[in-house]
Amino acid sequence: MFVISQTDKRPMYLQIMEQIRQRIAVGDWVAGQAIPSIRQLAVDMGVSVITVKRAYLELEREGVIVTRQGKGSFVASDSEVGTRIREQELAQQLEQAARNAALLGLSPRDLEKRIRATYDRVTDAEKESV
Amino acid sequence: MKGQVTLRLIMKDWRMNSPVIVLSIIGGAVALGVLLIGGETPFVLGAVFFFTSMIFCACILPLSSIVNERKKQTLAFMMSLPISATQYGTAKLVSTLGAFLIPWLTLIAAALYMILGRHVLPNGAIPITLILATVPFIGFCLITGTALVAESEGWGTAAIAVVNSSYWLAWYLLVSQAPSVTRTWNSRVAVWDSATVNILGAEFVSILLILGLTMILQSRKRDFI
Amino acid sequence: MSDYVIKIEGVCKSYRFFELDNIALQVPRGTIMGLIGPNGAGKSTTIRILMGLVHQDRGEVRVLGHRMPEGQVAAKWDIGFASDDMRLYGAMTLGWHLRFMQSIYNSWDARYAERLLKRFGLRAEQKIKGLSHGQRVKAALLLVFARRPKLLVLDEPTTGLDPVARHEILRELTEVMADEDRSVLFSSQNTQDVEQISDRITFIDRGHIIDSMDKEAYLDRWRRLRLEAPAGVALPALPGVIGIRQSGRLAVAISNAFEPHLPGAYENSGARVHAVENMTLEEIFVANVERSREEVEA
Repeated sequence: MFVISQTDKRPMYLQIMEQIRQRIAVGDWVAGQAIPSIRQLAVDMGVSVITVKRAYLELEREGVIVTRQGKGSFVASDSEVGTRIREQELAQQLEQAARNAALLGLSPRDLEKRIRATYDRVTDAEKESV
Repeated sequence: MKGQVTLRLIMKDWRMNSPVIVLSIIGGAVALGVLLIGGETPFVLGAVFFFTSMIFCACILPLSSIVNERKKQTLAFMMSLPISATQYGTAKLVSTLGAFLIPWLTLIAAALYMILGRHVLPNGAIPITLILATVPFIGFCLITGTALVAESEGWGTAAIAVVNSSYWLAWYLLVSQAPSVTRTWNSRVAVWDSATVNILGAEFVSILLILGLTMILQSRKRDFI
Repeated sequence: MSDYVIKIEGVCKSYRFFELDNIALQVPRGTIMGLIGPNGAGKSTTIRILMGLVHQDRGEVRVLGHRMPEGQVAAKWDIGFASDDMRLYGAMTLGWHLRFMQSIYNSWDARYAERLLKRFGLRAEQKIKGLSHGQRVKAALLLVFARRPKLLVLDEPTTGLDPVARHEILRELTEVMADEDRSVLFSSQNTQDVEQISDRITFIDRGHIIDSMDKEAYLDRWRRLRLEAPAGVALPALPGVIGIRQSGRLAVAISNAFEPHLPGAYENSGARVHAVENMTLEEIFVANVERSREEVEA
């Protein structure tokens, strides 16, 4: 279930958004599926209604979910939504990596080498586990 | 709906104070039992016990019912209920008064029985007995009123100290105001002259005044905690 | 008016050594309001005024539509109140207290009370004086929860509780949330609890309201910026920044009115922005109180 981490320094609403995106990316929640109402999710998570409301509003702005007046909230019925979420995550991660690399004083070349090495290692590991 | 809460508070107080009430009745019964033994020393002892039981009730009831409520911090719990300060005051006064009247009336009735039925004393002693026995009632009203209206435990205990040390003076003054009473206590007939009646009347009026003043002051309170 | 369960305006109250000055706050129906502030700030006094237990010197108080303190009897039928300085009757059992409340309130839910007894690990046969501090607090809260009142007013409900007990209480509070007709106002020293479940936050210090607003908007206004000031660069004083602490070339700036252009403004002055961090409510609490006290002394 959704759990807020106390050690996570990011605001609660961002954590909620990420966990919802994960659910969708993983396929637990499919396109067009009804998701819990704001109040229901707030109660389940033990988090204020206003925080969940903010998370839902942002997700709606991103096109990840839609809210229909009087009917509730649903996962956006866009078959690409899972991919789109992954794209967003990748973009965020790359930005973070670039920032960190710059702070560490790495050149773009160094960063490229490191990404390549990591990619190879991760895909090899996945091949072995199959 | 409103009246019900006040009633429930009164019954709650009676239930919680019942040990004290029972104890005081037993004390009084012991006192009167001693009187029955006959003879001068038992008489004095019995009379002392009789009045002591009344004085005991007059202090202990306001203490356990009113002062403790504030001290033990259950007052906030009571005030969280749907009542006003006036309703709370009424409930307290009624319950504490009722709790006092049970032993007091019982003791008076038993004393009257001793006089009229068992002839421990001649009938002439009735007026003075009533006059003297009403003084602890007045003392009770003073202590209860102070405890309810005052905000601190200190005032309640101060009232007890002042009242308890004033009984002898009150008794002395009353008796000296009604020489006919002291003259006739030995007679076979109860004498109700104007002095006697006036004194009794004044005693009861003062009880009403004290209780009335208490209610007025309680209802004018702005801060209850 | 009917959309606010609590509306306080211009309330003042003077005591010998303490004064509440111009208190104003609103709690919309269906929300949870967290009241935070240092000890002695005036949280308990404010709560007592809104319960009608203390009469304000000036100002208007409306709770569930009733004027306080005049309408306190009517209001208290729908308010569940518990404070940390409140005690139950030590000589009586918890069961006696349950029956007592049941005899007064129509809204008493006996089955819910039973469930809460189990959840809180309490037994009705126990005398109150035999309970530990934490158990007593839970007992008093149980008496409030089982009535399902429209408004809960709780003064430090989790203070002094162990983590498990705190969790139990917070769980029940979030259950209250499920009904959009019910509201909660609670004061707490535990900023984490307040941060997690409040919809609105009111900050009080030394008898004054410092802030009162939507929690998310409030948390969003505060940032901590980690800066590096290269040699020869003086960090400018920028609007919205309430404090800068510098040690050597590194500095930390606290902003309570953060705008997206703020990091850029620092970079323009020659400094480097290493990080822009959100702050926890506890960090905001400390920064706020320190600032308001400095202003008073200045």
